[in-house]
Amino acid sequence: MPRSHARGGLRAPAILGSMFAAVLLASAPIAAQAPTPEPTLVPGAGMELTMQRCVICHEAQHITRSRLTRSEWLENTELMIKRGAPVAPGEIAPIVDYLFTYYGRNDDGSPRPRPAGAPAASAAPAPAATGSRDVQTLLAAYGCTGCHAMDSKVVGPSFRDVARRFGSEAGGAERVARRIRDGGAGDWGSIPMPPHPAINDAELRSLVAWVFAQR
Amino acid sequence: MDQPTPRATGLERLHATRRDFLTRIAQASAALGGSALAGTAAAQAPADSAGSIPNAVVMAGKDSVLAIHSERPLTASAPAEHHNFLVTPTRRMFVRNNLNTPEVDASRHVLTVRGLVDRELTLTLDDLRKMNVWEQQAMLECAGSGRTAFRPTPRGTPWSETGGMGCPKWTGVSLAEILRMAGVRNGAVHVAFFGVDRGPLPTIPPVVRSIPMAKAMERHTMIATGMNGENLSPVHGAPMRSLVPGWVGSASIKWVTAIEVLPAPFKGTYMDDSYRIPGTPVAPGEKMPADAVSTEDWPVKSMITFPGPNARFRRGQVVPIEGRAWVGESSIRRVDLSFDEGVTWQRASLDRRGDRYAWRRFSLDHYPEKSGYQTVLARATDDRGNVQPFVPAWNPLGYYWNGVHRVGFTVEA
Repeated sequence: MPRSHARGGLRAPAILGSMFAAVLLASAPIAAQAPTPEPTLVPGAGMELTMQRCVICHEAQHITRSRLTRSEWLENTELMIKRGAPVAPGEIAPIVDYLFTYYGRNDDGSPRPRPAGAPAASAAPAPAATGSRDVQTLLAAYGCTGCHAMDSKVVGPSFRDVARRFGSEAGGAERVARRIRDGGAGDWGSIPMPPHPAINDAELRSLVAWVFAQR
Repeated sequence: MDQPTPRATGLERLHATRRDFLTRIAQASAALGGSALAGTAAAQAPADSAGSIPNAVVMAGKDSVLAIHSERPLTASAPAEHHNFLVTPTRRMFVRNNLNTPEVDASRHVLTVRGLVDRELTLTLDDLRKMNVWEQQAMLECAGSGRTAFRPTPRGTPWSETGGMGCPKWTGVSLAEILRMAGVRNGAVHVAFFGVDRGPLPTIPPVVRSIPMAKAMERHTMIATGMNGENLSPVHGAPMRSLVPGWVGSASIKWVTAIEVLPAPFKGTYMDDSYRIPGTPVAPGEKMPADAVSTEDWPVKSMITFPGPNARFRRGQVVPIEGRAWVGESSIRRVDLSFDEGVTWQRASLDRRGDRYAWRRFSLDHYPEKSGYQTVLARATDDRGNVQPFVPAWNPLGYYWNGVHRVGFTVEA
């Protein structure tokens, strides 16, 4: 829900309450409609990692609706680790950096401007905007191996299971490519795959070809 | 009905029989090594984690006026103007999950009673139905209900100013009856409820909250199996849940599978990191202080259910103001309305009858003296003299919003 209008003086809550009511009413039919694709995070260094670690359990709006200070994002990340988030110690700093850079506010409560023209790039290794790269580089850059292993289910299905199920199916490559790019759940249970909107078509093709070769 | 139906001698006989039966079950289960399971949260994760029900299926059972506040976990509610009824229909009842909506096989589900008890019990749904089942209308409200009205808005589910609550009828068995059957031992301080719901990863801890012994033994605290005359629906905790009326919703654990009597409050993330408020007020934006305490009973609160925001009336037409007022552990003494932004107040008529923890209806026929846009404010007072504030005390996690509710409407010239 957009909440950028939610700053106001002390007498504002009731008025804003009515405004929220109007917004909620306007959006209410969503309940009866087919689910719309979930929005993603703003591209920037650490975005892919943040998607993979956070968007398993929450949709991205839990982040996009928030503006927190650095210490609040750190506190929140630590709380989520207590609640079972699969974040390794070394991943806390890049995640908090990303969250504070793009969804931050200053300690005085003022919103933090986002870096202008942020490239769709992770920290390192950075996915190139165009062109193809070595598959192992892609697996690392997009964090695939955080959730998938060759032979056994980790969070998501093994590469081999994906290959066996979709590798010889008509339209299987497109289906897997779409799942990598757009994310979603349903083929392997209820744990959703986070979307990877920064990935380009050439990268998708080489990743899917590599996965299908693992049969 | 607000009283457990007295069915004295027959019931006692039934209890005696059941006690023997349950004791035998407990002994048999202990002989099979069942007692080794008792004690820790980790040991209690069911071996066969229940499958989860998709949100679309859950929301198909809800009216379209419920707005979804988050998909994972699923939270949804409808604002005040969609609560103008005496009993909250199940289709309007708010949804607050912490994890996925589990699909529980009612015929295989068991409720274990363990910890500081003389006899460990294992109760099925049928066992509960043979006990003293009664019905009460009672409020249930999420601690964070109204959170987005706080400035600055704390993190957490973005509940709208009104709506994260409901007042349906609940059917169930007093927890006290179950605890007496088990026999509470000396040193019992808290009672913890364990839910079977699980998150998408095996590392995610289960939802466990505990309440003080006095509230656990209070007769309105129940293990509920029904809502509004029907079996509980999956999203509201089928086949059984705890109901701790008047207290923050998180005390009422859905899909309850274990009750543990403890010598101290339960230690866990849903006790120690969430559902806490400062012991003394802090400045907006400050961190949780060291004197933080667990949230318990809701403070006095009210909302205007008619008219809805921006309704239009003709000049000379009566505006029949209506609303609901409630409070955790007291009762509503009066509700006042203001049509001049709080300068003067008029007392609304208040229906004081009703079940102990049910909301109260208030109303007032208002004859506007002027045309144009105008507002109505509602402010409830409880029997302890607490009055709803305009701006409630800010707290880091955004709990207990109970600010005066204000609705605007227009009288056409």
